[in-house]
Amino acid sequence: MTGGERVARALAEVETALGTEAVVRSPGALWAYSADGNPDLAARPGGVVLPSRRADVAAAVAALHRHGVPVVARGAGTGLSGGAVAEEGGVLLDLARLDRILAVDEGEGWLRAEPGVTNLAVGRRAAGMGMFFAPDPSSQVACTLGGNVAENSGGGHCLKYGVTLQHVLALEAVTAGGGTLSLGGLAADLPGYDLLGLFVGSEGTLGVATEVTVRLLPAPEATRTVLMLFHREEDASETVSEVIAAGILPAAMEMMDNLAVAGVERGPYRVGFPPDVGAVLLVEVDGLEAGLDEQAERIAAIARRRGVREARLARDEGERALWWANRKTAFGAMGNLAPAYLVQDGVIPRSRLVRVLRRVREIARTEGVRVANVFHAGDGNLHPLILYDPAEPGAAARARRAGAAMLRVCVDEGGSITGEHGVGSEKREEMAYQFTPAELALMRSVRDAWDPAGLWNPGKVLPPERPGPTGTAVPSGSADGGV
Amino acid sequence: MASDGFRGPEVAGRASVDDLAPAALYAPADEGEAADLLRTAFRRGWAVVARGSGSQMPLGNPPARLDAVLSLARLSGVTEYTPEDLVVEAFAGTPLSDLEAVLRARGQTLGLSAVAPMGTTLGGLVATGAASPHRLGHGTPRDRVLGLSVVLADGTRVRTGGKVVKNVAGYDLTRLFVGSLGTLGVIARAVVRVRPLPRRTALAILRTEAGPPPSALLALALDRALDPVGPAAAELVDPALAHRLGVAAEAWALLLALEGDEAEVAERLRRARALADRRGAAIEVREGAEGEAVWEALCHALPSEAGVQARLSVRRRALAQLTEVLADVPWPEPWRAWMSVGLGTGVVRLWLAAGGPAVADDLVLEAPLAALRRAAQAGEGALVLERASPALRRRMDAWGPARGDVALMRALKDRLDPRAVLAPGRFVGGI
Repeated sequence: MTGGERVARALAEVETALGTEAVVRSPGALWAYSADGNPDLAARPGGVVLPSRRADVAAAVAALHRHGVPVVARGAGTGLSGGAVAEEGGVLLDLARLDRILAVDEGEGWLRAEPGVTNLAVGRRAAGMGMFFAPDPSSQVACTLGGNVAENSGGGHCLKYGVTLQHVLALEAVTAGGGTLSLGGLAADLPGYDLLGLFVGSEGTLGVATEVTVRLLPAPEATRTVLMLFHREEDASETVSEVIAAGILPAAMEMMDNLAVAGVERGPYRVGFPPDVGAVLLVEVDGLEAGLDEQAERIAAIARRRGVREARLARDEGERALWWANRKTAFGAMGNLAPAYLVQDGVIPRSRLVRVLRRVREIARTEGVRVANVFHAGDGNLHPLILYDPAEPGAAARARRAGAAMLRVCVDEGGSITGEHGVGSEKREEMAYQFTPAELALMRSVRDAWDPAGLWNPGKVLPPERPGPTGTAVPSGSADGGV
Repeated sequence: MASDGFRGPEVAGRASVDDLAPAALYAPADEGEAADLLRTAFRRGWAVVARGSGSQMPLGNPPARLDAVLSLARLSGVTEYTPEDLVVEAFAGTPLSDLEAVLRARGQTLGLSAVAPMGTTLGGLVATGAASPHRLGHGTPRDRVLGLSVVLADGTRVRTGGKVVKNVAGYDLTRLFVGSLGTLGVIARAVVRVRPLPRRTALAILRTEAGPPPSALLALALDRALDPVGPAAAELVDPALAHRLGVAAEAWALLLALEGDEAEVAERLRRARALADRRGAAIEVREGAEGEAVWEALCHALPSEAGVQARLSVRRRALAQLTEVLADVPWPEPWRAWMSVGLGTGVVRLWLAAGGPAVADDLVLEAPLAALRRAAQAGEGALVLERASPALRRRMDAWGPARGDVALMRALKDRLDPRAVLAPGRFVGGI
């Protein structure tokens, strides 16, 4: 039986169980599902299943896996690494219809929802109770909670509040073959391995979450947002390091370089930055009202010692919102500067910021591409945006080479090839920069333990296995004698 | 058995794990030696238990088999520290007190500790995933460990995670090893996110009366009235413990750890006073070291005195009821109990000590502890024996019954340690 026939039979079973409106198979309609937020990594799925009830997920997965059909979960498709793309004729599980908030408990501080609910909807519900959900990826208007769990998403505020994993208390998952599994719980310290910690950020390769319980935090009483303009990017970078060294832990520290500023200033949320600015640094501190002004002033004083050209405090919530909108739409605004761009997601220790930015510029110069830097400076999470014109022969290849070289620099400095966008299909080869064959073999063992047939998002996260001596497991029963 | 790459065993007494004595105790001088030892052990199928200072050795079930103990005491010291990155890396055998001294000299702190006798090492903290009452403000090792160097069962050396806070490359294996009690690999080094030392700390003690647990204070677990105070730890201690800690003569006392800048702590204290007023409690404040000493006694002195230590965790909605059940347990003579209830965490520590000089048999505690375990399970949680005689832990299973996810845990164990040489039997579900 060919792959196509297997998919057809499996989908027919899914239709019987879930109804015809839950299955998309017409080739024209399937093209709409062929890419996530990264159009370069497209592949048309063999079919799409759209469950409307949580129980449908297990039923659909059971049918698909029974026929050996790979399954790829998809939320809003805002990911940037090809994670929600079904390669090799796999079937997409579109969770958009599972978008209900199921329960909240204000006293215990949690919210339980289906995976298709948007990050923003969770945030709004929390705000209604004087609380907040900390992870806030720039795509939060569209991106889903299930996607946040799959990618272990970050956002602007993880410097102080941590990434998604730190805010997930429990989840219900459908695993290989359509089985269900409860991970975590409302009580702390449940005995056992941290399977929840393993699942969050596994990019749909271990299963799919059908119900997510997240922690809500009391909303900070007060916030101060300081916007600082620097002549030189190095001074902004040093300010970031010195603020941390001074014992201040801001909620966020976001930076944009001159070219990135040029992009956002042509976008919908214009702040009015001077065109010759070297770098813009947005720092937010939050907590009790008491002492917050002093903290903001200490930050401004550090910036002044670094020759800041202007530092100002957001006058009101409106101005703060504008500054954040300006920052959060930076990726899209690159369209104002070039017909195409590649975004990287490397992470470095904060103290290496100046050195790494210099290396990034050198690489761009060598490859003849322009690079705009937009990043979560507080966590050392860089987003070099490599601008190019696909019409120009060889430009795309040079951009990709530049991106790969930048990730190598991040790894060489003790960092990571991805801070929040995930590996997906985009960076699976680059995994070998960061991990040894033994480490990759260990990850493969973990994946095999959850999904021995390899039917969850196959081909993603780990590089293709190459022949050679890998693996650490030795067949049991071959012991060569006891003590 | 001292051959095959085992370089001169440092034979020493006191290497027993519970009531099992190993054939040998090894103390490798570096990670390479540790890997050699494990490689040999793996080949021969020897059961190996790793050990730091031993402060948390009674945690978990007694091992099913034991051939060698691997002491990490000689793998000690800070290997990399960049204060401006808020990241430190040190060997597993580094005592937390040594690490803390290095960090404090630069105005930073680990902010993590185990509820165990003094001496806990970094590796011990990470392997047990131990958390203190300050987890409310500072998190647990699972939140704060960024990366590890681990020697796998067959001697393969791997690194997990890295030195950066945001890192989603591949699976989060760091999380898998933290709290795995040496059953998946031996932790040789750990990279941990540190925090700035607060400029000011204060302990606010809110006192009520002896008698049943005070409902006005227990209500704080759910009514969000502690939110504006924002304590880093909030523990309600029973009258016996309050007396033992010297925070109250004979009354329930709520201990609030307040931290921050000068003005911030002043404001937190003002709010704690207002809260005490509203809840009919008296308040006393101990600043700085004087307050810290109370937390030290709670986290370290008590565990060294008690013969039995249990950790109960429930969802916070079930906390008041569990506390009432706990306060009413008629402990058999000569056993006395102390307890500390984490109002923000739902984690309760229970200590039991037999009065008098005679060594008491803790098996008499089985029935009341089993009843408490059922109460914790009714609150969607668990009771874990963190310290008890091997006999009691065998009888009750230190972890309690496994949950539905245990099949997956066993599958992971089988893949990572196919010969079950690493601490066999010590973990959940017989792993």
